[in-house]
Amino acid sequence: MLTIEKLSAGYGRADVIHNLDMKVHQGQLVCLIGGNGAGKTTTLRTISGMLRPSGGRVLLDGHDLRGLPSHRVSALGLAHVPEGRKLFGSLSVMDNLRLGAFARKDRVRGALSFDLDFVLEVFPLLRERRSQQAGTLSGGEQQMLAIARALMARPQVMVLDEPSLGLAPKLIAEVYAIIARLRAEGRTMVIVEQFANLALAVADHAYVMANGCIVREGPARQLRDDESVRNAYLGGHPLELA
Amino acid sequence: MLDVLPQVLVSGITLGTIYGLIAFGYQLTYVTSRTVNFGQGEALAVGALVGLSLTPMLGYWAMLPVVIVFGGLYGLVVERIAVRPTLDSPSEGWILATIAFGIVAKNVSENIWGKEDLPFPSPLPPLPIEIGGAFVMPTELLIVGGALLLMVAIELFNRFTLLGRAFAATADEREAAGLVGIDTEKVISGSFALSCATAACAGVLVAPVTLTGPGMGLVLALKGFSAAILGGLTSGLGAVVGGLLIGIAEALTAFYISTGYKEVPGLLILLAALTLKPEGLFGRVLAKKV
Amino acid sequence: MRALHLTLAVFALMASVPLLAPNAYYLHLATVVLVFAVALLGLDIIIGHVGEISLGHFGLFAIGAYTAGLLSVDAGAPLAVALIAAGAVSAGFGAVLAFPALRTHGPYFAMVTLAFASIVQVVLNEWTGLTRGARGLAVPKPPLLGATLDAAGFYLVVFVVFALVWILVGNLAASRYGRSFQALQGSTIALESLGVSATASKILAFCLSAAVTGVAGGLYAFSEEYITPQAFNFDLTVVFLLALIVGGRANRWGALVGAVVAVWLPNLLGDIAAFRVMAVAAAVLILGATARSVARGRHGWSAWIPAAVAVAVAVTAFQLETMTEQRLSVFGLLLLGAIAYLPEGLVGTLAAVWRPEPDSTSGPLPERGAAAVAEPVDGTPVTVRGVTVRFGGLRAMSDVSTRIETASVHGLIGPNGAGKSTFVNTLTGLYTPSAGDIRIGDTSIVGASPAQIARLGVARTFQNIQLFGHMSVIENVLVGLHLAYRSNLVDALVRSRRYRCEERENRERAQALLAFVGLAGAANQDARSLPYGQQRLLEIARALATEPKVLLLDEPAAGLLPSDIDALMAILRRVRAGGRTLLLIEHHMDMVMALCDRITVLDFGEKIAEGSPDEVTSDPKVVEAYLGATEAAA
Repeated sequence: MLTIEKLSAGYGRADVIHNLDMKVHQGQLVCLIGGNGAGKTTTLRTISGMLRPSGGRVLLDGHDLRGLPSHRVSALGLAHVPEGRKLFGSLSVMDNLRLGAFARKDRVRGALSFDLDFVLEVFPLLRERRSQQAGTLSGGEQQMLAIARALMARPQVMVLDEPSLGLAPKLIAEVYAIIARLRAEGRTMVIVEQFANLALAVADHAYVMANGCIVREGPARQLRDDESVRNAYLGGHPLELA
Repeated sequence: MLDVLPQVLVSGITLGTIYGLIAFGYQLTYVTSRTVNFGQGEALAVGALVGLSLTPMLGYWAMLPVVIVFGGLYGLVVERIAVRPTLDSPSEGWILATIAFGIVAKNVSENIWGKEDLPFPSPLPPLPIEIGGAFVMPTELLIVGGALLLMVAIELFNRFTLLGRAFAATADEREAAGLVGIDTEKVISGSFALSCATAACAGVLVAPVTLTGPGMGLVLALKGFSAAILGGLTSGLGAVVGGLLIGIAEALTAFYISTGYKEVPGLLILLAALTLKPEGLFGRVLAKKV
Repeated sequence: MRALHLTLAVFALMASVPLLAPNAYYLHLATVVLVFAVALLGLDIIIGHVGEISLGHFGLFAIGAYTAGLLSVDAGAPLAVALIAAGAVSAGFGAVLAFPALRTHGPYFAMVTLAFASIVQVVLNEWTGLTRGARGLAVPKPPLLGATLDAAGFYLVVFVVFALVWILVGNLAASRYGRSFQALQGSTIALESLGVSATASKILAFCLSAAVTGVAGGLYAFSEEYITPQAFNFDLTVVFLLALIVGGRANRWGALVGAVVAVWLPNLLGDIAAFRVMAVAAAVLILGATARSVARGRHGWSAWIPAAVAVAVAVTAFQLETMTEQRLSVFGLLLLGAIAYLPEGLVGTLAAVWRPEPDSTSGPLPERGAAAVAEPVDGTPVTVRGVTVRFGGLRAMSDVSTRIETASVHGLIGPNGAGKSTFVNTLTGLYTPSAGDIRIGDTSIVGASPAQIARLGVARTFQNIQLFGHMSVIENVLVGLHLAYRSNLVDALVRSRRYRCEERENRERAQALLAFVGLAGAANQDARSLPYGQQRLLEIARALATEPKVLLLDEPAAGLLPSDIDALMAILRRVRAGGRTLLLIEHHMDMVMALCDRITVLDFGEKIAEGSPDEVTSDPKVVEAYLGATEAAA
């Protein structure tokens, strides 16, 4: 579904990510883990067209995404839930959801209201808040809305950047419960996560990044049990306390 | 002295509406791109001059939509040449770039229409109508009505169409707007087109009461800018209120104190307002989390 | 040293202009260049250093011109008195202007300055009793020391003033005052947190900028010998801005080069033959550059627009007999080109080409300073009693009481939105509590400004990093040392012995602080170029520079790798060992558990638990609110 070949990119002259190769199959949940500064966010930004690759290419369902700006990538069926959520804060929850479907070509009434019903069913809280300004939602609600907005695009592939960022443990668990549900429905997803064992718990396949390169790869279950990955990347996350 | 107050207010409101319309144009681009066209006065003057040349061919009413379309095209060029190349630079290059574009536009129009101010024929008879103790010229009604109509139309577009919401989304979060499929470059171009269209329209609306010339826009644009800042650059309502405040202050001062000082009270109100409320009367504080 | 030689050579050349100028016209042109250069040096304090675009300096320039002119004509004041008065009066107006401008930025700031200048223009025009109004004021050059000033003599006067201003502005920029101006551009909140009043810094910047511009205005009055209010208008501001942007900001050479361009360009455009050559050259250059970048596949068709315009201008140049009518168009196009292609200005662009890479190797570690950092200080306890903070109807903190002991690390945890950052922001004066009392030692800080609280010995780091990104790493720490100086503004302007001594000591101290957090090798890099984790360490070094008794750390480990966290913990342990009071907000529980002596837990703005790490983590309320997710996630 999503194929990344020899991808390099960066800001200015220096590349931040080097020669990445990744494959995401239909219905798979792939996670990309690694410490801060490893290049995870840069990888996602390059995939969704916010950054131009300096080398290599990204294929989405056979379409070459190279050089396409983010709004074109979005129209081809890739939805990106950005780091820090980036909601349209002055707009209502409903407007945020409607704009989530902006790029869709099947913007007929029936299809849209079907999807709207679906996301409001997954996130019942948003139904209560639908006319509230998105900027006034709490952190957890904002993350839910960001995911819901991406779902409105009915994407072929959804990429999520640090869905746990800045959330208290309780809310992180709620967000990951949603992600697990979406995976069970057979959606194709890529998750970037700093708290590796969170992501490894829900993912099918995992890539480990360090210094802009992929250093490990394998089925999530296998990496989860791997001592060296545990030591290097699973430290210091708040759920490990008890 | 007080018996002429309604009359003074009428002229203040007329002026104020025009300032408000110009301010509205600044607000349109500011929300999408955090930039404004500092050459807005030239857009206004060029709009009025094109209107002047078209009126003999099309008549005043048919000329209006053509000038609005022309203003839109002008805005697209301003955005493409002066704003887009400087948008992502950390310095405020766009301030100077738009001023520079205005300099070129003014000079070119001087070479086409000459430097002298020209009279602009009024489409309505110069027969004053009495409203509430004040005599109002039909042209003044046209100015107020036309300006309000245009602003309401743009406001409705922004609030109730998906494209309008896309404008607002771009204003809130440019990158995220791209991620949901909004072509943010086009949105910003579009906001400049709308902005210069309002300026051009303001130009043909005021032209019958002022004179028409390449230099006519500078003072109007500066006052429109004061109005926009006073009201708060993020608010359409602020633009209108700011315009009215400055227009009325100007009319009152001109009549009761001195025409020479007519601009001072409005500017003092502006300075006082910004001392107390740096984001303008209706402006939104873009809070930064620390 | 090469820079000094270049400066001396250029100044020698400028001093000899009266000998070199072929006639009075060119001598006058050179005089105006230097007058403009002085004005631009003043304007650059606001634009280049504080980082705001002022559209109002024509008003200050006019005030200077009229002050000097009127004093000389009506009161017979000597030249020096008239010029000093021009600077002083203008500085006074600058201070007044600073107030509405204090909290405004970008277009708002531009409008404030423009509104001020517009009022000045109206008053000059209307107050005919004083200014002669629109008729204008004739200002003959006053005698200097009894001798009449000819054009050459006056040029030398202007040159001397220019050289003086050049030196003073250079010293200012390199001093702690200059650093505080630049810090305004980075983050006023951070500047205040270091005990430096952003208000005072901005007012000072305005006064100095206005004084220099006012002196330039005075020189202008004597140079032109006739001034009218209309001469000081919006167009003059545009010329000033053009000159500074084309020349280059935050650089004295930029002001000089900009003045040359602004004064000489109109003359150059008068010569059609010269213009044809330039237009063709420009068209060829731009065509070539565009062809190259298009060949590399970086742009679409729209990349050809500038080239097309340049070619059109070149073709037009050969159609026209004279450029007089089109001069402004060419001027505007040049300006557009300069902004697009030379965003750093002529000088900035040249400097970037020639400047050697910043020296990244550090000198030998000053051991004396490193020892000083670990030197014991007396910490101060912080007492919080019944503090409530409201935002509109929302209660961000309600009735929170706690005491943070000296030489301890006090943890503050809780779910997001529990009020942890509100706590720190209230303690540092960014928010004012609506009820309750906070004491640092015995001093209540309710209602005090962030800078006042910082001066009581409270320093902090920020959850969203607030570095002065465009300043170097060591300069960031030096801003933290702002209050360590005893020398004053005059010392800094003339670089007195006392000032140089202090500057050297403080640089050593800053270097030691960098060594303490492990950043000694990065001293001369731009702060924004540091990796994320190191930026957090730099914030700690900068906070420590203020020699705080209380240090508040808002999520210092956010975004750090486990290995960085170990280093951070080692640093914090050493800070605590010195006797300081530490407050730590953190989500990384293992770090909180390892470091904290006591922990306070907040939930929905209320304190729900407090005690030793073990007590807190076994408290059922805490488990429910904060740690309960463990089961849910498992």
